[in-house]
This record gives sequence, C-alpha cells and structure tokens, in this order.
Amino acid sequence: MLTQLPGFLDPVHDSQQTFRALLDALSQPGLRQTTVAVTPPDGLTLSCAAAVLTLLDLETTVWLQPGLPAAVPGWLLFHTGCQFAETPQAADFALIWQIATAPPLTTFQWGSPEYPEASTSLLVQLPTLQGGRPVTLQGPGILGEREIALPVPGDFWPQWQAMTKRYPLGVDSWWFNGDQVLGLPRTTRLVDFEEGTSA
Amino acid sequence: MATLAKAPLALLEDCLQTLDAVPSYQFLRPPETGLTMVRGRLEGTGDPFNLGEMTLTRCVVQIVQPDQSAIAGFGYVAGRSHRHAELAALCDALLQHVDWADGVHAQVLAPLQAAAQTQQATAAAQTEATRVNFFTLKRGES
Repeated sequence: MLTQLPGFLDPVHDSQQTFRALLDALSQPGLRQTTVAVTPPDGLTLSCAAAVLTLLDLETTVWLQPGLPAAVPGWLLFHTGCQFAETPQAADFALIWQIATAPPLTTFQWGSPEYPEASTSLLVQLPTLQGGRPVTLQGPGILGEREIALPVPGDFWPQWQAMTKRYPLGVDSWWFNGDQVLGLPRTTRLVDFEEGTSA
Repeated sequence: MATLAKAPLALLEDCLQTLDAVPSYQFLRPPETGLTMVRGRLEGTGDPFNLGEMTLTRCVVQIVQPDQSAIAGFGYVAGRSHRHAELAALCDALLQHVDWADGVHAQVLAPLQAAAQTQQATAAAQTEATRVNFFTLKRGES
C-alpha cells in the first residue's frame, strides 16, 4: 500500500538531530532525549517514527511485532526502503508496540563473541515512560546510580539482568513515548535487584 | 513518463504555464539527487552487467482530492534538476486525475512529443548529410 504521509520535512538535518538524540539516549542510559517532529502513521509514536526514518535504510532488516496497522510497513517501505524480517532472530531492528505480548529477550539476535554488534536493536513503544516498578541502573554513562520506572511486565527486568551477565552479547534498546526517547544499552546493569522477584 | 523525463526543462515549464490553476500538491518525497547503477546486457540477451552509475533526481508529489483520495505522481529524471523532477512528478499525478488527464495530454505531452520528434528528425537529417558510402572494388587478379 502506498503511503499518504510524508517523511522528514528536512531529511538531512532532521535525521542528524534525531540520530544525535538516539546517540545521547544510549550514552546516557535512562535520561530522556527529545526527537524532531514528524507526522507518524497510525500505530507509531512520534519519536519512534523519527527514529525508524533515521536508522533504517535499504540494507537494514526490521521485524515488526504483529498487530501493527498496514499503514506502518507501507510508510516504512516508501521512506526507508528497508527489508522486513520474518523472525526476530534475523532482524537488525525490532519494532515492538506492545511490550506485554513481545517475545522474550532471548528470541532476538544477541550477536556472536566475534561480532557482538550484529545484534538486534529493540525499538519499544510505551504508553508512558514512568509509573512502573522503579529500578536502579548502573553502568557506563551513569555517574553513580540512576533510577527509572518503565511500565514493563514483571518478567522483563529478570530477563534484562540475565542478559547483562552475557556481556558483550546482548541487545540494545530504545524506549519511545510522544517525542521522548530513553535508551538502555546492554552495558546498563540493575543494582540491588533480586532475580525471581516481580512487581 | 519518458517523454516528461527527457523533455527540456524550459519547454516543460512553458507547457505547464498554459494549464490554468493547477491543483495544489505537496511533496511525499521532496526532490532528492542520488546515484543509480545502470545495467546492460550484451546484445540484449546476455548476462546483465553493471554499465556505470548515473546521476538521477527523483520526486514524489501527492494531490489530495476533495473526496480525500490521494493521487501520487512519480518523477525520475537524469541529472540534478530538482525543478524538473518536481514538474515531471506533477504531470504524472495530473495524468491520473480525471479532470486533468485530457488537458495534460493535449497541452503538455503532445507539444513535448512533437518537439522530441522534430529534434530527432533534425539530428537524423544532419547525420544523413555527412553519410559516406564505402565501396569494395573487385580487384582484377583472378
């Protein structure tokens, strides 16, 4: 289906600014960054739409969590020319619009010890970036500790904690809401977190 | 599309001037210039090979009709003229528009095709004037 929505109005500068925001989000885990404005299709939040326009191109594969409106793949295909992956394992990027029904973290590509960068990057949309169970983060880019409270299902943080122990393997993630984005790279660990407990 | 893409820009502008009150349009993909690989086949039937890269400008415009249905027009032109790509895309969109298709055919496509034919005929005549015929004379040895 041919899309009816434009992409970035100023492709060069808009994508550079968004890329900078995504970079800052990963280098300062847990801090919110703001992306530029874009008209998103139904089913994508504003910041997630700006991020996919910036990150995807002819050579990247993306896995869409089932259930997104048909306008989304049409829009992505027109503006980025990206390829769609059949399985999360084969994807460079995974677009998740509902974290509650998303597959477990182990189903995504974690890279290999020789090529840890060949992993899947998660693009997760949330209805809000606060109000969940608070967790304390530690790792590169965080001076001391930082607390966030993403509204994620109870079994997510144990999976994340287990993944960080497999460093350098793992996935990096961005969390989107409105025009805000927050990054969680694989280097970010949870402190004082007991596995098996859930919210 | 080929007629629009190969037309001289000045002539295309002139032809579009003769159309009155072109509907408003917006860019779905603003004009952008890039490279594309041109591929060829030996004698038209052999294996494809990469001939070389050429500069290309493309553009997609959208006309939203009163009933909210949208028409997308595509323009791909050789070279770096953003304006040419925009006008080619606009004409492509108008050709799909029920109210405009006939007008564009008569006032834009027909003059452009005529101009292209004239130019081709002129070039052929100029080439013809310099034709040299080679003859092989039979030598009287046998």
